[in-house]
Amino acid sequence: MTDRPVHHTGYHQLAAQPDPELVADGFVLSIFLLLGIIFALAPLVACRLLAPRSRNPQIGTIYECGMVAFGQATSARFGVFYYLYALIFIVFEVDVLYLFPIARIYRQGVGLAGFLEMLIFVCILFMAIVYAWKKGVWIWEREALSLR
Amino acid sequence: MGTGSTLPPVVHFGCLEQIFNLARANSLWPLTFGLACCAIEMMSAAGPRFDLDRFGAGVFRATPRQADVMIVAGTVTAKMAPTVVRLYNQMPAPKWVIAMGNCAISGGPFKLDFNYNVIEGVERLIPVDVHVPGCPPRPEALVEAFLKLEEKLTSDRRFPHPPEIPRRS
Repeated sequence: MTDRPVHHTGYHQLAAQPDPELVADGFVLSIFLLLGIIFALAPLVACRLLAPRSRNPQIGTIYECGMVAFGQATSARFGVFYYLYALIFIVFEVDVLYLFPIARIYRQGVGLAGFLEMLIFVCILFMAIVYAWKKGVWIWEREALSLR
Repeated sequence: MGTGSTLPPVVHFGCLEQIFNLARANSLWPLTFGLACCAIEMMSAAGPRFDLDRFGAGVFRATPRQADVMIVAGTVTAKMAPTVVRLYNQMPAPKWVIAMGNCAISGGPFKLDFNYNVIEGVERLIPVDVHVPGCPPRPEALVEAFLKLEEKLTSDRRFPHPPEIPRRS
């Protein structure tokens, strides 16, 4: 690496003579990509060609123990109380996601400025928790959530 | 190869087909589907004493999408007929049918003049590969039906024939 002559060349000349290592890498990578696509598609194609097929109007119908299915799958209703918990989870997750790196280097000296930045960040995220608190997320009552 | 509405594969390799058939013959998955008293014998055949699993056929599937074999175990009535046909149609391509018991073969003891709604054999509705006579057939007879189906697939019997039963004259 050290005895390789350093050419002070312009951009155009660099483009004309690309790094052979890069080209080899790209070649290998494209082979990997191609093999990946073939690996994914080959079973599907082979299945189409090699498997016997059954053709009738009922082959794709919904299985309901042999009965004819009625109604829509979307007609069933279910409570969505848990989505609030999902949102709260995201708040805490973002908290942890950014506090971990800071905690990792805190001893190495982030100073007062770093501490204040962290405090502002936590305060902003804490507002989301206060908002959810106000909305009654911590109360597990259907009425409290449905009458909002 | 299955029967009925099954179309053959687009590309056909003889040797590969033999390997596939060997695999299919040793993993015949029946549909969990019983109509009448023969189903009790079918359950018994799947149980530990007779153990259909020895022949790879004990994996009773709860959906026709995963099943290879439909065991019609019992009387097929006119009310049940569309359901049987629909279940058969919902099964994927290489599929076989075992008609178990006299009812599934010909209507059996229930085919009387006043029993207007008994179908005289499931073969009137869907193609049948193996018939198992008996009222009801013993579990060994169902095991033998699976062996016959394997024989039909691979044209080779892997398991020995059962010994002759000495009969009194």
